[in-house]
Amino acid sequence: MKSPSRTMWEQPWGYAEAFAIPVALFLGAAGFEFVTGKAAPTLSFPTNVVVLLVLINVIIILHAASAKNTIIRWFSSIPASIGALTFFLAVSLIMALVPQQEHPHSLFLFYNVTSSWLYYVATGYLLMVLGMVSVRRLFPVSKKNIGFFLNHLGLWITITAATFGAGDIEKYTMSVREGATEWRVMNANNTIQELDFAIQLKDFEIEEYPSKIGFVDMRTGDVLEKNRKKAIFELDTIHGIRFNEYVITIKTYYPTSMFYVQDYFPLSDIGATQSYYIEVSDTKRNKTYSDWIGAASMSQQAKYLILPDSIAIVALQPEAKKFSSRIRLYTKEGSTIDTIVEVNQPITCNSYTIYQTGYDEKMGRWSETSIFELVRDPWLPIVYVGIFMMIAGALYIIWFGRTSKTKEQYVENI
Amino acid sequence: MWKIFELYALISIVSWGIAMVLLAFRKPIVARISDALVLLGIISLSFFIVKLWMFLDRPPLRTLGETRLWYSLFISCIGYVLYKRWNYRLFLAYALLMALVFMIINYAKPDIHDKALMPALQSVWFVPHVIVYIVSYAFLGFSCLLGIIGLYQVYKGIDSKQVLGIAENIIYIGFGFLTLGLLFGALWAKEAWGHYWTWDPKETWALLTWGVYIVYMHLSLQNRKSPRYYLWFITLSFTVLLIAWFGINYLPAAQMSVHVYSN
Repeated sequence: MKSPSRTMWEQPWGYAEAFAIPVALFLGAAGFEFVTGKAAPTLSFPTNVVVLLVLINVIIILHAASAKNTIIRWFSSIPASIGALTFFLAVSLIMALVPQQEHPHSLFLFYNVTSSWLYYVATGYLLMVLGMVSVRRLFPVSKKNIGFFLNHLGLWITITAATFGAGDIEKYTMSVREGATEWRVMNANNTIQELDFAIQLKDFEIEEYPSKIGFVDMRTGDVLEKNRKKAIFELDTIHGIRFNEYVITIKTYYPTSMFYVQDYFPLSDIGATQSYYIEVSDTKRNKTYSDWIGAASMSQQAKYLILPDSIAIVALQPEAKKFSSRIRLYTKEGSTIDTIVEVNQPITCNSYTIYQTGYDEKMGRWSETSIFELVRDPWLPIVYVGIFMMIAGALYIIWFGRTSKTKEQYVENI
Repeated sequence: MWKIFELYALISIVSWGIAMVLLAFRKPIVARISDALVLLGIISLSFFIVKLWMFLDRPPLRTLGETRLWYSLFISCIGYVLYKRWNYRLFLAYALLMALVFMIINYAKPDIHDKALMPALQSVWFVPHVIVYIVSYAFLGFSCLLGIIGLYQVYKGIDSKQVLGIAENIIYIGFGFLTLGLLFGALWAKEAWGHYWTWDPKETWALLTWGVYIVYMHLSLQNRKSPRYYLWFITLSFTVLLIAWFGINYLPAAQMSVHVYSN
């Protein structure tokens, strides 16, 4: 196929051209950013739809023209595909290596790749090539092509809907106090908007893990380390906790308790905290110490057990195991829905998906405020169509592997 | 409930253990016995999971011990199905070994059965996401190994076409699972974080790994160069996977990643 005497840009094109075009596009996009000094604009409705229609038309026209023009036909070849994909991967590699910033002042192509012209150009070129490849093998429709069709068109649909739909995603946060009803939400620029439904927070609940127990150097306030592992231990009532010469045995554990005079008492009032009555034996000095330790809370100070050498045993701030909000939704049409929102278990109302994201961390488990994120992504169904096509395509590949057919088909179609 | 686990686990552990040994023999009758043992282990574990599910009255997916049951079940099933399809005995042996490891951890350390997962991990997507990646990494790791064997053959002057052929098929299968892992991750992310793709460094590296294998699959379709060239590509592709797997813990871009598993 490739003759050794062929110079660049002389037909038939091969890998040299496949990589030269992305390099030129890279320089063009970078140059454009340096001249304008701005990030690429976000495409939102209706501009994104117009641009998408233009892209689809370009692909169809190029496909039609490719029957007669070998250069246009080359764009749906394997070298061109590899060039376009490598270009896109190279741009992703920038993101993989350079820590991305929310709002950099310049050099978007390094610090905020997804808002740079480079990203748009690389994605656009990939979509053009992948689109042409997909269309070329779409007809004639045949059973043999099904794996190819699912994988290529599935990927094209996914990337297209994700890229063109990005500008139409609406994202808001809402914080509601227990008992209150809220219909106003805030976007990323702190602008307040009103929804066509309201959320009443009936109850907000947190379940906590048992507080971890740590060894802290009193002089520096740092957690001690051994073999580069931090001396933090989980509640283990059976085996006890061992660190260097110390063995901790937990005698009493109160998930909720209050400190009074010199002891913790099991109480679950506001501000109650976790506490342990521990016994520490110092195997080196043959001594035993015992006392209460307790985690700090909004109304209680932390309580430590102090060992010689300025080492303290502390109960760490407990981590949330599960938090959930019991809410009532009121729609404008007058219907009410009672439901629960949890992490990993969002609910949907009037095309918004409502996620449990946070609470008032200063109050910890006594938080009376629940924070929700509301997301609306009108392009999501299209993205899912692409994703499910690719899942089917992946199963096809797993089952059929690289059968000899794969190769034959390629040769047939070249 | 976990008390009766010992009985069911023992049946699975013993039958899978024997099946692994029997896989080394090629006689048809031995193969049939090992098939039966693999299935017996799967059935025994399934029985326990069903019983546990009924006992808890919720899907057993909330604690580390519970997720390990699913790992064992699915990995042994995938191992068996792919063995029937592709006859890769080594892969079945590997799958059974992984399934055994998870079972033995549960068997030997009953005190961690009840350790709850953190809220973000309590999802139906957690187990499938992890399993398809375990399977995918196994296949792609195996292809890397074959790449090294092939390169050894090339430099010794032995024909490496057959090894390359097997490695390529294995890449296709591993790639299929890699795709599933990426997509299950996206579907899960939508449920947990509100968006299916956030360019989190782990995601980005997973995408790069995926892309490198796509590049390979397309390059190899043309079959223009000598096997040496393809074997090097296969072997080096795996390094990208290794970066995605644990190398990213050391990259500056990854310090904010939700996937970094160190303190």
